[in-house]
Amino acid sequence: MLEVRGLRKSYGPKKNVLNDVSFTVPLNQLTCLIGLNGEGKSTILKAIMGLVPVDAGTIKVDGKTTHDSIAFVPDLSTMPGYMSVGEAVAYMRDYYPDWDQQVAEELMGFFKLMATDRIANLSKGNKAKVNLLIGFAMNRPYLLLDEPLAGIDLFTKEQIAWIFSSHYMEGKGILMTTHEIAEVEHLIDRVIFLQNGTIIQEDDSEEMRELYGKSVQDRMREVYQT
Amino acid sequence: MKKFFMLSNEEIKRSFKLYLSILTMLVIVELTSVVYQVLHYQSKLEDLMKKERLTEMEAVDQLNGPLTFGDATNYFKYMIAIGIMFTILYAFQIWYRDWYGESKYIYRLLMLPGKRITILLSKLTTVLVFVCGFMGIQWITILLSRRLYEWLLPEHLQAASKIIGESAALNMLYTFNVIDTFVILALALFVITMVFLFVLTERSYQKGKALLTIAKDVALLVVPFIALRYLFDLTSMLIPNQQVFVYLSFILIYFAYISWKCVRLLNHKVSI
Repeated sequence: MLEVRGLRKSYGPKKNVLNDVSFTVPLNQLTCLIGLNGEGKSTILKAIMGLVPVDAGTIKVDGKTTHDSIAFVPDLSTMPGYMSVGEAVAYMRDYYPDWDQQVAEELMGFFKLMATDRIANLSKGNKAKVNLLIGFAMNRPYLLLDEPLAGIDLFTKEQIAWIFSSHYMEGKGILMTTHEIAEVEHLIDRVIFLQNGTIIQEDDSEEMRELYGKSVQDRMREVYQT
Repeated sequence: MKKFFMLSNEEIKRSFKLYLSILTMLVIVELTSVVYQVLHYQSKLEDLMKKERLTEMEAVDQLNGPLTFGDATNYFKYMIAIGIMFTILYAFQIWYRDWYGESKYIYRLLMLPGKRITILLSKLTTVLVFVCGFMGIQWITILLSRRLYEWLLPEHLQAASKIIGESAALNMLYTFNVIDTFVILALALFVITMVFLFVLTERSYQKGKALLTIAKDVALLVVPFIALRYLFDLTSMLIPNQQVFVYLSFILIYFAYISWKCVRLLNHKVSI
C-alpha cells in the first residue's frame, strides 16, 4: 500500500499548497484525486516521486520510504524531442531492470505509434500515449497518472480510457488526477476531494453513489459549488 | 557506473551538433584571421614601398619589423574568450534545457533509478569533455596557423620565434606541460561547478532566497580571499610559496563545499 501521511508544503509563509494531506492508495484500486486548478493535485504526485521537496510528511510504499515501486506519468512530454519513439523505449529499457518490453511493444501497436516517429513531431495526444506506455512498461505496482486525458482528442481519450479498463491495470494501485471525470467515472474505486491543499472528503465511489445517489461528477459539482 | 556512462553519452549526443558547429566556426574564423593578418601586412608593406619609395627592408623597419606569429594570431585571444564564454553558457544550458526545453526531460532524469549524483557527474563530465575538445582543437588550429603563416609569408618577413610567439593567450593554451594542462582543467572544473551551483540554487529556492543564497556563496569565496590577501600584505609571516599553498588549500576547501552543496540541492531541494 502507498501511504501518504501529514504532507505539508508551502511557498513562503503566505502560500500553503498542501496542509496535512494524508491518504492511502491500495493495490487493485483506482484512486482519483479531484480538485479545481491549483488545489495541489500535481504537487502531491510530484512530492510522492521526490520531484518537489515537502516541508513535512512521509511517503511510504509497503512500509518503506522509497519510490522505486512507483511509476509516474506526467502530463508533459518528458522524453527528448530528438529521440524517436523506438529510441525512447530503448533508452528507458536500459535504465529500468523490471522493464516489460512486451507491454511496450503491445502498447506501441495498440496506440499505432511508429518506432521511427520523432517525439518532437508527435501530437499532444501521441506524446501522452508515449508517456503512458513508458509508465506501464516500467512494470511497477503503483502508477501515478497526472491528467492523462487533458487536452487530447476524443479518440485518443477513448483509447486511453480503454487501457484503464484493460488487463494492464490488473493488480496495480493507481492514483490519478483528472478533470475529465465522465470518461473514467465507471473505473474509479475511490475519490479524494482536495481544496486549498486540504483533503475535504474521501469516499468509496460505490458507497458515494449509494449514499448520495449521485455520480462522482455530480458530487464534485456539489462539493466545489458550495 | 553504467548509468553514469549512459547519461554522459546521452548528454554528449544531445549537444554534439551544436558543439561541432561552434568549434568549426571558431576554427574557420581563426584560420581566416591568420590569412587576413598576413595579407594585410604584405599589402601595407607594398603600399609603403610604393608611396615612400622604400626598399623592402626599410619598409619592414617602418612597420616595426617582420610580422611575428603572435601578430598573425592576434585575434585568437578573442576566439578563446568566445570559446570560454560558450563553455560557461553551455554549463547553464545543460541544466536549463531540461527544465525549460520543449520536453521536460528533467522529470525523467530525477526519477531515474539510482543516485542523483550521477546526473550531476554526467553533466560535469560532458562540459569537461567539451573543454578538452576545445583545447585539443585549439592546439591543432595553432599548428595549422603556423603552417599557414610560414607558407603565406616569405621567410625573410617572418620573425624567428617559437611556435606560439609572444601571445599570452596562446602560451596559456598551447601547453604540453601536464601540470599546466591540469591547472586549466581544474580551473574549468571549478568554474563549471560554480555555474552548476548557481543553477541548482535557482531551481531550489524562490527568487529572493535564491539570490541571497547565491550572494552568500559568492561572498564565502571572495571575502576570505580578500581577507587572506590583506593579511599577507599586512604581515610578512609567510613566504610567497606558503601563501600560494594557503590560497590553494582555501580553494580546495571551497570546491569541496560547493560540490557537496550541489549534491545536497539535487538530492533534497530542487523542484520541478
